[in-house]
Amino acid sequence: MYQAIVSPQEDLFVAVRAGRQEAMQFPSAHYAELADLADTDGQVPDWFGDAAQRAWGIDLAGRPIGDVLAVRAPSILPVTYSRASWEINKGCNFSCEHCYLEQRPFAGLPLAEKFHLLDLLRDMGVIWFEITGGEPLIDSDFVPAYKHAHAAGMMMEILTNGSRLYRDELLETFAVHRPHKITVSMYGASPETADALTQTRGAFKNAYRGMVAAAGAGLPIEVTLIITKHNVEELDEMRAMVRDLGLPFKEYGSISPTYTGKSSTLATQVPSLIGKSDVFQGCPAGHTSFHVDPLGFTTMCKVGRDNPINLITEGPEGLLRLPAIADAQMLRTGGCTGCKLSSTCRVCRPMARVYQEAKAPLGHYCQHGTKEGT
Amino acid sequence: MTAIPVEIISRPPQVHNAAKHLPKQEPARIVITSVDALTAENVRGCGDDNPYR
Repeated sequence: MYQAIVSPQEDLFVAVRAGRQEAMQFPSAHYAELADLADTDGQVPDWFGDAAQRAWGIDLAGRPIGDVLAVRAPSILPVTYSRASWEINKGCNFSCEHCYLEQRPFAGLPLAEKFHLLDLLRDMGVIWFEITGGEPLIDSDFVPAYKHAHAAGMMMEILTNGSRLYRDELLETFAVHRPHKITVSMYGASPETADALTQTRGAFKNAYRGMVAAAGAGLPIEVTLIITKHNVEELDEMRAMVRDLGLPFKEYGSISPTYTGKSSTLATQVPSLIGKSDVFQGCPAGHTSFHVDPLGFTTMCKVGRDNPINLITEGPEGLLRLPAIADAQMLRTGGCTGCKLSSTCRVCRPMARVYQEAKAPLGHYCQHGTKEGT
Repeated sequence: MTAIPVEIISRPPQVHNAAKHLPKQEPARIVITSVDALTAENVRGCGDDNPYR
């Protein structure tokens, strides 16, 4: 199995290694040399071996390139992207009240079309690739699809509730075909709390077992603490449990409406955590990244889903329309024309629209809900 | 279609969007950098506010 990926990334040439923050950038001539050596069954040159030693502490010099590096070809398509996310299936084995998906049908492409989709992403230059859901690990095609994308030389990230992570097939898959990151959402520090929040018996037991197993296997886990009114009283215990496992974590307490504009999720918001988000600084979604739903419809991101493009039937050329579709969504004002606070908004325009459609109280997303006289 | 009134104003496209097409200067030699630096122009802007980005 390869130890690192060498690839064009937009107009850069990079080398990256799953699970590691250190990376390399080099001139096009260096990339061409590595590509030529890969094509001729050559060996890792000393300059790359030295850099790999410095960056990742691994010894690659003199080893057959085909054994240790995935050298990706440049895209020859008229449209290139370096990042994508994919809902392999919206189906989920949890039923969280705060979930941003209003409906979670079990539906997706047949495996052969999943492979075709992944090949299209590879050919467009996608390196940074997230598989999500629903719960992606319950999809019966997850393992072959994951291996297919990994073999294409993608830095894989999985967003999961962790409830299947303890299973041997998944642990073995991730141990051999290492992901860049597995992000596990955590919903409580006890069965009573997590099972009630997820409306799923056994949710806590299985998710915690999964985190323990994945941590024990040395997988690159990051935990996301989802804070709602159902578990906020256990937040300190949740933090302690994750620290005891030696895992990094982040906390999220901002609950959005569903991405189809339904407000049912907002009842789970902890009021004291409203308005704690950072100021929105801009977003390249639709230009350097995109999102694909279970049936191959492509949008700028998971929130802004206007004018989806069927990647399966239209092919990558269809995505030539995506930047303009994204800009149209980012430029919508939805009644905010002339607002003097727009430069310090905390949500992007597609997310603001979701709140507006849900008729959410202004205080959930707009500074006018917390400030007077503006 | 949304029932929300929509109006296009002259707010410029996000800087990252325009930056995609700017030619970048190649390094003269191999450089050890970071994933964060390499991905600055393709990470979504909701960042730490959206756990499901």
